[in-house]
Amino acid sequence: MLLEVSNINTFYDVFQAVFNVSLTVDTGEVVCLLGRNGAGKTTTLSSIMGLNSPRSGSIKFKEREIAGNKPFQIARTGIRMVPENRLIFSDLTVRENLELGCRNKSGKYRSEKIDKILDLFPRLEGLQYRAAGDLSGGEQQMVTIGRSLMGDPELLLLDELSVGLAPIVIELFKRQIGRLREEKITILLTEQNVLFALDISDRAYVIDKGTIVYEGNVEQLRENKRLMSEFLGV
Amino acid sequence: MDATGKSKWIVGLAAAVLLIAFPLIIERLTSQYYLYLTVKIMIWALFATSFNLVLGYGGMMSFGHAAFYGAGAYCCALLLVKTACPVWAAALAGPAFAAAIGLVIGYFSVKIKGVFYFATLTLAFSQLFYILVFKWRSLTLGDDGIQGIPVPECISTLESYTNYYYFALVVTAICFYILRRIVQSPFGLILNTLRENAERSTFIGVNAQKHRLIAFVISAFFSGIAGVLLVFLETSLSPDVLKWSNSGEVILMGLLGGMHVFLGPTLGAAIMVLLNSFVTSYSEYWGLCLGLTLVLIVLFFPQGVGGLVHERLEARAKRKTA
Repeated sequence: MLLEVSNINTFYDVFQAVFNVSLTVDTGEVVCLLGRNGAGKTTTLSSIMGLNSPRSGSIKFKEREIAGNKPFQIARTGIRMVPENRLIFSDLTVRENLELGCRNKSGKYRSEKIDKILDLFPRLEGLQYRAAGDLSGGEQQMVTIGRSLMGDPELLLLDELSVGLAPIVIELFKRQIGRLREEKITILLTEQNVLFALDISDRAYVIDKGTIVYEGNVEQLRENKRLMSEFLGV
Repeated sequence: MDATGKSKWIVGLAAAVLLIAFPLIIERLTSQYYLYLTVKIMIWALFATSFNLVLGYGGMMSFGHAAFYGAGAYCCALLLVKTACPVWAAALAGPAFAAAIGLVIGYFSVKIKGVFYFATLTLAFSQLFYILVFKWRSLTLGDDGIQGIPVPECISTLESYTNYYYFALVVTAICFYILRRIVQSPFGLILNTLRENAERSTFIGVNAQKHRLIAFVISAFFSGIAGVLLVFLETSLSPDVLKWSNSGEVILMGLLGGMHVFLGPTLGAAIMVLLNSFVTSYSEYWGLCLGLTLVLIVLFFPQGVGGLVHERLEARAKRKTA
C-alpha cells in the first residue's frame, strides 16, 4: 500500500475536525474523498501533508511513518499537494513557477520536464514568460498541478480542484487527470463536485462530520441513492 | 543573441570602459575627492546589494545589518593593528567573522514569524554588538576608535585614490558577479518564493528556515567584505560604523533604487552618497532633504528609480517585439 492512514484524530485547537479516519491508496489508483463543506476533507489532506498534524493515529507512506513530520519533509518523500487556493508564486513567471518543482535538477532535465508539462497543458505554452499572477484561475491551477508534477510525485493530493472553475475548464481537467492515470500517477483528491470526482476515480470515501461513512467502489456509490442525497446532496 | 541581449552587452561594455577610464577622466577634470566619493559609492553599493539579498529577494526586514558591516571592519582592523596577521588573511577573516556573527543572529531570527519581530530581534542583536564594541575599550579602544590601520602601499590612499579605486572596483565587481549568480540560481528563485509566501514553498519541499539562514549568512559575508573595503579606505574605524542608522541607510538605498532590481540598491547608494555630499556642502539640513526625496520616491515611484527604469525598458522591449 502506498498510503495508509489509520485512525487519525486532528484538531484545530480544542475543536476536533477529524475522528478516527482511516483510508488507503494503492499505487496507480485515483481515490476521491467526498463530503459536504466542512465535513473534514481538507483537514484530512492537511493532516497527510503535515500542515495540521494529527494528535493520534498513524500515517504511513511507502510503509514509513510520516505523521508529525514537517510539510517540506513530507513533500520530499514524494507527496505533493495542490491546495484549493492555488498556491502559485504570482511574482514569478509561469516557467519559473514550474522550474521550482524540480529546482535541484540540471537545467536540461528541467527543460525536458517543462516540455512534458506543456504537452499536458498546451494552454501554458504561450504563457511561459508571463507573471503567474496575471493568469486566469484555471490557468493558475494548471501551473500549480504542473509544478507539483515537475517533482515526479509518487502521490498527488488534489484539494477541491474544480472550485471556482468554469465547466469547460473542469472538462479539460477531467481529460488531463485521465492522462495522469494512464501514466500511473497515484492521486488522492477531495471534491464537492461529486459527479466530476466519480467520473475520474477508481474508489471513493465519503466523510461526514469528520467520520468516514462510506468506503468502496465508485459505481456502488453512484447507485446508492441514500448516501448520495444524505451526505453528498446529489 | 537577440536584440535585448546584444544591447545589454553593449551597455555593460560601455559601463566597464567608463569605470576603467574614470580615474583618468577625474584626474584631468577635477579633484581626487570625486574618486574618493566613487569608492564610497562602491562600498555602500556592495553593502546595500548584499543586504538586498535578505530584504529584496528573501523578504526579511533586517534592521541590524550594520552589525555585519562593522564586524567585518572591526575584525580586519583589530587583526592588522593588534597582531602580526598578514593583510590578505585579515581581509579574509573580516567577512568570515561577519558570516559567523550572521550565523548566530540568523539562527535565532529566522525562526521568528512576522516582519516586526524579525526586524526588532535583528536590531536588538546589532545594538548589543554596538554596545559591546563601544564598552570593551581594552580590545576595541571604545569610542576613541582605531587609528592608523596599516594598509599595503600598493593600495594606500595617502597620495592618490587611483590604485585603491581599481582595487575596490575589482573586489566589488567580483562580489557583484557572485551575488548575481546567486539570485539567478534556483536558490535565488526559492528566496523569491519565501518573500512571497514561505508556507507555499513548503509544498514543494523547501525548508524555509534553512534557506533563510543561508541567505542571511551569505548576506552577512558580503556585508563584511564591504566593511573591510571601508577599513582600507579610511585607515581608521569608530563604533559609529555599527550604529543602527547604517542599517537604516541600506534600507533607504534599496527603497530609493528599487529592491526588486539587482542594480537598484547600487543606484540608491549612488543617489544617497552624492546627494549627501552635495547637500551637506551647502546646507546642514541633509536629513530634511533625504526625507523629502524619500517621500517623493515612495509616492510617485514606489518601485524605486531602478524599478522605474527597468519597467520602462521592459515596456519598450515589448513594444518592439509587438
